[in-house]
Amino acid sequence: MERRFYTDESFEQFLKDTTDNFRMYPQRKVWYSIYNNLHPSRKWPSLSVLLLLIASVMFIGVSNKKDITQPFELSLFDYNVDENPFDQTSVTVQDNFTEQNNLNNITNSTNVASTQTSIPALQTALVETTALHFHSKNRLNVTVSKPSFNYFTQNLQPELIAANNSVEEEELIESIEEQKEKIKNIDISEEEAPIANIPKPKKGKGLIATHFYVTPSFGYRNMKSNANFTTPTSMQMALISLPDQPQTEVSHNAAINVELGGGIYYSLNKSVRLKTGLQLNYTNYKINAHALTHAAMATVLLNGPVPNSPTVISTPTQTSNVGFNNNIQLNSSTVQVSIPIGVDYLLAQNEHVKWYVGATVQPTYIAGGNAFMLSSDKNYYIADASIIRDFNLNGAFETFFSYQPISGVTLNVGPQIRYQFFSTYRKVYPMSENLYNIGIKLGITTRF
Amino acid sequence: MTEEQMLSGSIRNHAAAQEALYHRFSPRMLGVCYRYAKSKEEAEDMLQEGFIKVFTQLHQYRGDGALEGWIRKVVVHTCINMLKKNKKFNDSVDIFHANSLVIREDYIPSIMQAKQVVECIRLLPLGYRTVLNLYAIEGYSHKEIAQMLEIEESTSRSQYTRAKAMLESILVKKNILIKQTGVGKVAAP
Repeated sequence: MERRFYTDESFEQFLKDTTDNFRMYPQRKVWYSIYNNLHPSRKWPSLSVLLLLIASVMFIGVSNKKDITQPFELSLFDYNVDENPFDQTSVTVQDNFTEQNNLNNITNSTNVASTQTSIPALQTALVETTALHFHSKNRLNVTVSKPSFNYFTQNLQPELIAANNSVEEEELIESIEEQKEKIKNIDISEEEAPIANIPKPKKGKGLIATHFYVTPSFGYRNMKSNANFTTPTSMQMALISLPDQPQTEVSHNAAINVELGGGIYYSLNKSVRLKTGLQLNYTNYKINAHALTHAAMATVLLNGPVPNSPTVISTPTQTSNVGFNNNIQLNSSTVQVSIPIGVDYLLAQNEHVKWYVGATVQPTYIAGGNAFMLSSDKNYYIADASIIRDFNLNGAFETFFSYQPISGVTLNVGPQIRYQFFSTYRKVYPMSENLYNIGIKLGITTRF
Repeated sequence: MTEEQMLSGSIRNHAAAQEALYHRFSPRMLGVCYRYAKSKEEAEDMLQEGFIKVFTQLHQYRGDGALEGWIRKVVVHTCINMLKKNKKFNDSVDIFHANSLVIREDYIPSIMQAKQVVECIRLLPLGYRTVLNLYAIEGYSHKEIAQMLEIEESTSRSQYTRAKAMLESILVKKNILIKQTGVGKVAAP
């Protein structure tokens, strides 16, 4: 460890010299807070992202709610289709009979009486009620009382029983019998009646599913010039004008990228489903360069606010694009947070496997990364992450096979191509770079 | 982006220029805040407040000194105001009792010297530390410190004397400094 002699007179100077060299790097959120404070009308979009996330979580929560007091709609696929002649028909299951005035008495009476007396008899009444409703609508709007199947037969609640003790049992049974009599007078055909025996909806199936995935991939980039200037005459001796395809003048390599994500599917019908969620991408590629033993001055012409008037910056660097010794690799990387929004389409299926194609657009926030500016003479690299733009837009196309090993769980695997539509860099940098990834997406889907 | 471009852009409230200015000076300014703060989180709060003041008062910068010096002055004043506002300075200004404090020197991380020295400074009681920071490092006079901290000038002097003695003791114990009493000896690394 370095030790220093000092005198009383030099103590303050020692402290000042030493502490002047001390630097700490604040977290990125500090700048966001400052930005929000300085530009209140342009609140940092993380607020929007947060709101969207909260909305998504609430949506999932509401969709997954198993509150028996709420009406809900189920596809007939949720029932055992083999035992049911009414394929492709939707089923509306309601908890009460408010829409069916003529059945109110039955329901009300049933709810009360079944807690106290003959449950099988009440179930019969409800079954008949259900069939009647189907017949009149010619659509499988099955009105059943969930409590009659789930609540009363399995989970008799002491509180409810206590609350209904004041009701006269005989009056209730009488009322039920009257209603049953009315129902019997209505013709119900034999083949329609079985629908009343629809079994209880199975848990774990529905229109919404969650999915989680990881996509290892190779990531690379397309580069081209987007300079809005020609190299000034005064600098042409020192700088070579930027080529249209700078990738021919640099040595870059693809690298392993990774994508992690999760979200929800919403099935529109048998073949089409929408999907959204939250996704994290780490992108990178390698820049082959050379370390300099002594710093050199690198000059970059940046796009200025006025066309053909570049802004000149010069900065020392110890990284060269040309040379033979001290080979190093720079890691040009970004960390991206995206909200993929897209659709999957079922192309084909057999007993065990389904084949989908899918696509998403992905509004993306760039949370961090490394960037290296190429000097205008293409001799040097300058590390400067501030040229990375904060927001971008990606798109992904994929095709994958789904295999269901157990009920409610599906494994997905297939290739994916992801492309970044806008340049990684801000417009000030006279080169544009579009990242792309080619990888294998591995996922798991679970149904509610 | 040059300093002039950052300055003029920030005055015109251009976000890119402000961000560039922030990235240029925030590491050093956070180092300043850290010497006054109890923790890194508190230092970041001070930095945030400081830079908001910097950007809102930047038009007052006349260019008669280094921009960094002006920013540093604003940030230091922000640190002091936050300490006073939170009454942290007043709570610990009873530094006359500070000699009895046990300094946990073993907590000093053994990393590069600048960091070590800063961590040693942060071991001092807040009252000592603040006066030492303002006098020895920022270069304020005892009269200015007395006004800033709303204390007597003599109190500032006595606090600094004690702070200096305590810090010397810590630095010598940690083998960062060796006191040299003779005249004419050559400083050695």
